[in-house]
Amino acid sequence: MSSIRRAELVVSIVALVMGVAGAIVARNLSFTEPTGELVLSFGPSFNLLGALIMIVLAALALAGALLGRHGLVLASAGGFLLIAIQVLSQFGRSTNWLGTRGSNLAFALGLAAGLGALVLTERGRL
Amino acid sequence: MTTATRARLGAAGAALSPDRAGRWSIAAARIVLGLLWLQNSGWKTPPDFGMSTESGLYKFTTYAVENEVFAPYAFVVRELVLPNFILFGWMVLLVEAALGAFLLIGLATRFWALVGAAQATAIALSVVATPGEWSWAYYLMIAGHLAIFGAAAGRYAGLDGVLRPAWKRGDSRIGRLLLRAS
Repeated sequence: MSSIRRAELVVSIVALVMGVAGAIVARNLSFTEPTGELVLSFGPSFNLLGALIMIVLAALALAGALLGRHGLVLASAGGFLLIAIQVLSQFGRSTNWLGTRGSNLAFALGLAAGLGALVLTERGRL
Repeated sequence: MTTATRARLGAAGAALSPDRAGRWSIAAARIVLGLLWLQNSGWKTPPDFGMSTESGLYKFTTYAVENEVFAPYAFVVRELVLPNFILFGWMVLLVEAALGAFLLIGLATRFWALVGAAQATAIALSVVATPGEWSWAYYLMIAGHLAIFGAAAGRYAGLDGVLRPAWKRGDSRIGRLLLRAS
């Protein structure tokens, strides 16, 4: 396995762990609670929908990395970019579908940039 | 370059490159600084960033004027930043979120380390004269970012280390930029 695919695996596992942790801390919240629950009080917060989307996107990246399917990893990176846009448009407002805050913006941006850079470099685009 | 010179340079390079403990320490410093920004982008809350309640980012920004550290900086905050505070708030949120993102994964680390040092300097100029603030926290933040810049910390357990060989082989403009930034 190449070092780039190993890195894709590590990044997607980190995202998966965060999503599962988000689901655990948000288990008592309503599905689309605007104020999410913090993960270990260090930053990102989730309601159940936010955690579920995180898990699905991470699983997509993990599957892409394991099967060597660039398209899946890139789709996951695109999904994380959409989460970053969701935070920018809804954080601090009464409607917040995923229960996110500024720390989720940092985390989602890191996942999008990281997975995107890995796939695009592997494809020879960077 | 002669063979002897190349051998000498190779030996010097090997002597300078960190051992396993050094590599993990450098990576840990980068990740901790990334988490610092990630956590602190959580309380910069739009849409007014604390302006209406004089709390949050707005309150901390006014410290630069109320407890002046450096007169020209206080002037800029009073005349330029506070009258355009919402725009400033969005810029702070985006820069700090990007710092958290890129330092955490170790991508374009040297560039973001310099941005982090600049941001830590701006924060220091706002709050070090405020009663109750521990000024060394901000000097340590600046030093930490300079250290990971100097060590090119993204090359250790970061994406820079994984991707640099491919960027070196490739001929894309973005790849060359990332090579410089890492």
